[in-house]
Amino acid sequence: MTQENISGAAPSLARLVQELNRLPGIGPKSAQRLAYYIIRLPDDEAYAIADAVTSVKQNIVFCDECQNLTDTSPCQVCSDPRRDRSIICVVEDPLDVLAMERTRSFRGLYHVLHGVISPINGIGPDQLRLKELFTRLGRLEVEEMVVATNPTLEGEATAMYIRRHQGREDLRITHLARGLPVGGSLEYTDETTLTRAFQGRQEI
Amino acid sequence: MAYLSRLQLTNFRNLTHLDLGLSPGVTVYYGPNAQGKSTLLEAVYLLCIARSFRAENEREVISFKAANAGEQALVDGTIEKIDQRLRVIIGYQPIQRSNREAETLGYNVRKEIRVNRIKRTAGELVGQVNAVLFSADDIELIQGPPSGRRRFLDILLSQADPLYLKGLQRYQKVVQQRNQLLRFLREGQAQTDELTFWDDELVREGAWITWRRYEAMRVLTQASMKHHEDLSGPEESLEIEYRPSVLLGLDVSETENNFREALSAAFHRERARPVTAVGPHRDDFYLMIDGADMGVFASRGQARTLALTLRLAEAEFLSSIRGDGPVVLFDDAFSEMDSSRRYRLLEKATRYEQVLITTTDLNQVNDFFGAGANYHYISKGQIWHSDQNGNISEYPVSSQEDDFESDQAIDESV
Ligand SMILES: [Zn+2]
Repeated sequence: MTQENISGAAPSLARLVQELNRLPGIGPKSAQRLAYYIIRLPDDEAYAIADAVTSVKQNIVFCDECQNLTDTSPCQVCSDPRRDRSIICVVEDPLDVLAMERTRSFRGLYHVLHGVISPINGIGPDQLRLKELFTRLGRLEVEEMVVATNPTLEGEATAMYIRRHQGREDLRITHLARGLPVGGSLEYTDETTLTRAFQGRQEI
Repeated sequence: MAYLSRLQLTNFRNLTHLDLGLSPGVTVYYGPNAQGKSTLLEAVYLLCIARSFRAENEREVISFKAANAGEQALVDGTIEKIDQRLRVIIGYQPIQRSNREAETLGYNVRKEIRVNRIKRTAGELVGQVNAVLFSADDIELIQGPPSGRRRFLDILLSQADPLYLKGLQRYQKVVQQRNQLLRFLREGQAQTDELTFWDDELVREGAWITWRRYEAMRVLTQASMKHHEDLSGPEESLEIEYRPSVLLGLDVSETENNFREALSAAFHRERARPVTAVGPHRDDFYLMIDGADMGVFASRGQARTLALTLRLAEAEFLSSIRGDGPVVLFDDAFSEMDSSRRYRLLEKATRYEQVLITTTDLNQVNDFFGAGANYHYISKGQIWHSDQNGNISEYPVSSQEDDFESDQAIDESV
């Protein structure tokens, strides 16, 4: 957002527009629309937004166990006695935990890495929560680790690093199947996906 | 069969609105320089290889006026294939950037590709319809740096096989990541064992790419020798030698082993200068006539003929692999060529289903084609029908009023 674009606006308004504009996916136009929307909100609703931002910054911590974001450590999942402690699912970021939880098909534990190995982004193993993972693996009685990083080059690099450095010989290590999207059609599937889906074919 | 039946352009360089019907056979676009002829072929080639062959940065393709107004540029082509019709739309949306650093650049573009309304990646588009472009710049293939020859091989193989492009894109990412890791290693900010994954991927993808290039070079060499003899006569004997960075084995897996050895041997070099030292990003091929390296010793005329030879071989390769022949494009490619050589070239090229030719000089083509081609005159982004002698129609082929439909296409592709 350039200064010219917002000249004529009151400085406090200009500041709000500028801050909103820094959010991912919010361009200058959307930032302006949001700012004017916020101005027209009743006071209590506008303060509720500000309060939510303050509170999330004051209260959110990393879970000492799984490294997910939480209000209290250990988090709800880690402290739930009904969770299956024989299986752990390693994901890139907290949104992946939400996605897995929505499926209701996984009842085990999680570990959140907060990123993937990517030298060009300055991220190596030390920038991820890998030490925490390896310590946990030594301590927990897990039998299987599902490495659920994304099927990108960086996701694969991370999965490979974990497999090579996890240090337990009795651990079963799996990754998610690479396959056809449900509801998709063969015709519109790219060759790589189709090849991998074919390799991972199953008895019916 | 595969040919382009309609081309609609919006804000594409200096072509603000253009709606053009095309037919199989030969079509000639002539007119003075800088009136949109090359832009037309740039658009057609873009529909096939998903990238501009002229633009350093693809944001150049949006006309300056449209970019300022925040309007998008569109290339919208309809392609007739034997069993289906493809509508390919490539849109470039200018995006104003908000941070300071980007302000000096002005704007960025978001590119979107749709094939029959479905959003596609470049990798999914390439290979749907193939094209071969002959241009005056092709002389660089012979006399220019190795990167141009690698690009030639990469475009050819990507068009022939979409898996090649995927592999290549992956390989290029691996090289980038690995180079950065080598920099960190030199500065003591990373551990050597972090290289393992990137080394494995480099070797696996790299050996496969090397092998695919080797196979393609064998076919290309055969075709080139024949075309070169047809164009230049039997006195000169052409040889082409592929010189991969990694020693070829008898198969892919032996090539992988060689790659791994070469990488180990490069250990100290890579620590001293942190860039990936071996791999297909260092490949080259040499053209030799009677043993002399044409990269160094070719006369201008020889270099031109050799470039044409490679393009003819490319066209032949693509039609042998894919069944449907490529759309053949000539962008001002006939200057400095004697008429007998030009005739022989046109004779070969016009065997393909659709040939689009631009030239500043109608006389470079009408002696060969006579009434057997469609002729159009281009000036200031407008197109007129013409006959073989340069008599043009009263009104342009496409006028602004005819563009109502392409405006709808803009909405569709957003
Ligand atoms: Zn937890």
